[in-house]
Amino acid sequence: MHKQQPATTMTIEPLGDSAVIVAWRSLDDSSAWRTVQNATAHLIALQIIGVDAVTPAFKSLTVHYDPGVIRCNEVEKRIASVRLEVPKQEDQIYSPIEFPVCYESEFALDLDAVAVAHALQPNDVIRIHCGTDYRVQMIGFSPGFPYLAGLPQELHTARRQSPRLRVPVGSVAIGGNQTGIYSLETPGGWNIIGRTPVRLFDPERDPPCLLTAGDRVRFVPIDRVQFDEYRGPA
Amino acid sequence: MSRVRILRAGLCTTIQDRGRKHLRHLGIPVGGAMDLLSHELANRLVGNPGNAATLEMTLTGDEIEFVDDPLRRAAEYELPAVGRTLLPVADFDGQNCPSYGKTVSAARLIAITGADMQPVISHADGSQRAVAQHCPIVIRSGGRIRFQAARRGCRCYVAIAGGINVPIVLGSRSTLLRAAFGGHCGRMLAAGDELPIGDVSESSGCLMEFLTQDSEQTSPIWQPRWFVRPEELPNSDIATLRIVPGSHASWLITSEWGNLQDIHFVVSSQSDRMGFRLTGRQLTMTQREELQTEGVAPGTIQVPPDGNPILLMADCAPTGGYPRIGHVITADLGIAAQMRPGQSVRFVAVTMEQAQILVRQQRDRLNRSITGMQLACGVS
Repeated sequence: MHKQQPATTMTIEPLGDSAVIVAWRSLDDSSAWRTVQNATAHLIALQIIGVDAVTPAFKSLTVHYDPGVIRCNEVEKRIASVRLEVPKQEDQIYSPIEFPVCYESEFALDLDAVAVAHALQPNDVIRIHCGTDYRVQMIGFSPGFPYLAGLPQELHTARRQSPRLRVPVGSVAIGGNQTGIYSLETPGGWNIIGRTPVRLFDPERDPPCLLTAGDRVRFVPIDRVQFDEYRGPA
Repeated sequence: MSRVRILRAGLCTTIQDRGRKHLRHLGIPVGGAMDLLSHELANRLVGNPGNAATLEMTLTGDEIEFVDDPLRRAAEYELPAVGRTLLPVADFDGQNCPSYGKTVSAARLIAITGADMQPVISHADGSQRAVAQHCPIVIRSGGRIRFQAARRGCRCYVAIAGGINVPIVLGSRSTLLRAAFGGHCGRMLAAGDELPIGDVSESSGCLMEFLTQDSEQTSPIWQPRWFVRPEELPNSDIATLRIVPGSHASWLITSEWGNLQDIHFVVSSQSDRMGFRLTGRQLTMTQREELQTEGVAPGTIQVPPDGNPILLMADCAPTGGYPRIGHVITADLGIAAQMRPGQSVRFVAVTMEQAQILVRQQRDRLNRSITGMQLACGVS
């Protein structure tokens, strides 16, 4: 059992008069992420009256409250009183959720551009993208959109100069050092390299989002026929 | 089932309640009424819980009509009363009522708040009357209300006793246009849409009875001579929104933060339920650091690289990555929601303590008004 490191680098600052941001900006990505997940669970468990939601991001979480019920300094005091720690590295045993992805050119609008940017063949991009497991860091941007960490360095690609006004739903894309899946048709500036037939967000479903922070994801290449014949997870 | 029918659709009319506060961790915006205070006031004026779903009309209103299923009407409505005696159910056929010798039909209690869309009621005989705002009014079935272009403000709320009873999706009846769910089929209302109305509360029934006790039954509308004083709409020349500083206020060059109240921005036409793009002055940031995505909220003022600030509103994403220079205080979000494209706006800084006193005072005013109305109308 490793000794846990106290999260001394924590900052608390107001986000307007109805929320506060609790951040660990100086921690490395992995430690910050674990701390945020741990702290989110702790703060939700407190069930502070007047607090509507505790929402995790990458290196911070946001506590939303009703200013008609509880004051900002009371919220800050309650947060500061909790002993929030940096949890040790998690166990490596997990089973990833597999996402079939069709990387054919009809869907992979930016696959060639990504390949050229890294002096790779499109097939190499697909092989590298499918050759590793990703961790869902957070759900955000739009309902059900997973930000996935763990993209191999050789695929890190800057966002497009001008965002597309409509990115098709299911598009698998690369933005900087992250990869993600567009859960809705929205505008977007990430490089689109494929499309999954899996529906990530369905308001009629409970829970509405397929993925949640902490889940592991792996991409599996499929062809166009398999894409069309996909009927949901077995 | 009693329904409200859209005869002609406004510019952007959606069904809204208080939204979805608990799903931000799934990337789902809070949504809900842009002007929560007007939404709440409309509901409370008709005896609804504050969270009942209302119509939110934007800039140009709809023409609506109330329709009843004749078979169930008698069971659902106790109105109209003759004197204070309720009509016997058997006689209540919506047409002629031989035992009283008068024509009657079912009626609906509604309230209109927010922007002034100059509502007019027309009845079958062609008569027209202006409809009062900020008070409970009773409309006979078949009565049509025509909302026009907003003379002041931007968003008008219509509450109907019983609330608009569309299905609850993810804990709310609010329409989320961007994700196309909630409200009526996840979209803006269109001509021909019919929306179900929920069961009327006891206090709504008492209010209706009080309002109609002395009036002529042939009138298409019953309205009181009083109204509840609403919160102010933004000044049409220039709106003033109070803000508290954001995490990156110090990134602005000193002259801009220090003189923020003298900078006049313009609400651009690229403004919707997600947020308002403000033009007229590009702000200069002293730092250009890439930020991690962090939480934002309705009221947050972000400055993207082009320097034109964005004021986030009800349907904003729960997270954002641009510097946050300030946040419109909760008490002024209703005024912000009533700003129209093309209108000028400026920001004045207040302290967190002031912000939190202002929101409590605002809610106290609303509660006092409603309590006063209930006492005057004999509603317990």
